[in-house]
Amino acid sequence: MSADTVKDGFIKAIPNLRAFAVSLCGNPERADDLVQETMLKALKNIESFQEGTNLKAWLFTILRNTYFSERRRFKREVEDADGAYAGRVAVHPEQHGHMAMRELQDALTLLQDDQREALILVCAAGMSYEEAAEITGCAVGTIKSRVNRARNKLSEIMGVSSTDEFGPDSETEAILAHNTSLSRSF
Amino acid sequence: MSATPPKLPPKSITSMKDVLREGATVEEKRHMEMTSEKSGEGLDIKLQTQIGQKLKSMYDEVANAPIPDKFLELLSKLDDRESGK
Repeated sequence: MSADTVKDGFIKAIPNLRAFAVSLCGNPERADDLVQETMLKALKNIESFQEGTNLKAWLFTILRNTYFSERRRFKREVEDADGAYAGRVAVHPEQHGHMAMRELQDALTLLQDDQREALILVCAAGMSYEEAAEITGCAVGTIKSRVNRARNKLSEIMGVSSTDEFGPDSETEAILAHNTSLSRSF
Repeated sequence: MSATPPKLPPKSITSMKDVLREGATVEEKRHMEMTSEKSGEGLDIKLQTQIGQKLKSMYDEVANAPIPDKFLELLSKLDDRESGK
């Protein structure tokens, strides 16, 4: 694979890698570190990439493997997600009316890792179930059920507030606020 | 005195049963209302759609942003390495 081909492929993939990373970890700085680690690993192992196969999927796989192996190492209290959510509901009921993008990020962190990942790949990154299965190394059926569970869980979390309260106005505001904060961080 | 014997007509038993049954029905109804509030189909679809849109815009916001220089620099090192060979 020539350097130019690699470079072109990477340049095409970077925006998606960044979006995937930030959706996955919820932190823009951490996300870009992940993308950088991914690129370095990919360049180092470029010989193991089979030319003609899906470079984007290959890079996504490296990124998620990097993310999850670090997460396992730091042993975050993922299992506590349900409890943390219950505590939050009890402590901050007044926040329910305002569904901003930040709250989507917060809600995503309450999902199980594998469910969050499947949801992001399929519903945000627009991957097919087959591609998502390839990236995560599991069966298509598993991806489908993870996406469903993630959807239901998110509805449960975000449906606590009335849907009427996040009409177009507040939603637009939320997106604008989010955009502003994103352009600051990037 | 004996004109009003304490009547225990089957009716009262029936009404007791009715009360019980009705109590259960009310409970069931309440349960149904509560669950349909949360996962009623109309609301659910609306909510799912909104969540889907939010996920997409969260992702697209970053995916449409320009690539930071540090990544381009990293890739240009690849060029240097190649041309140095």
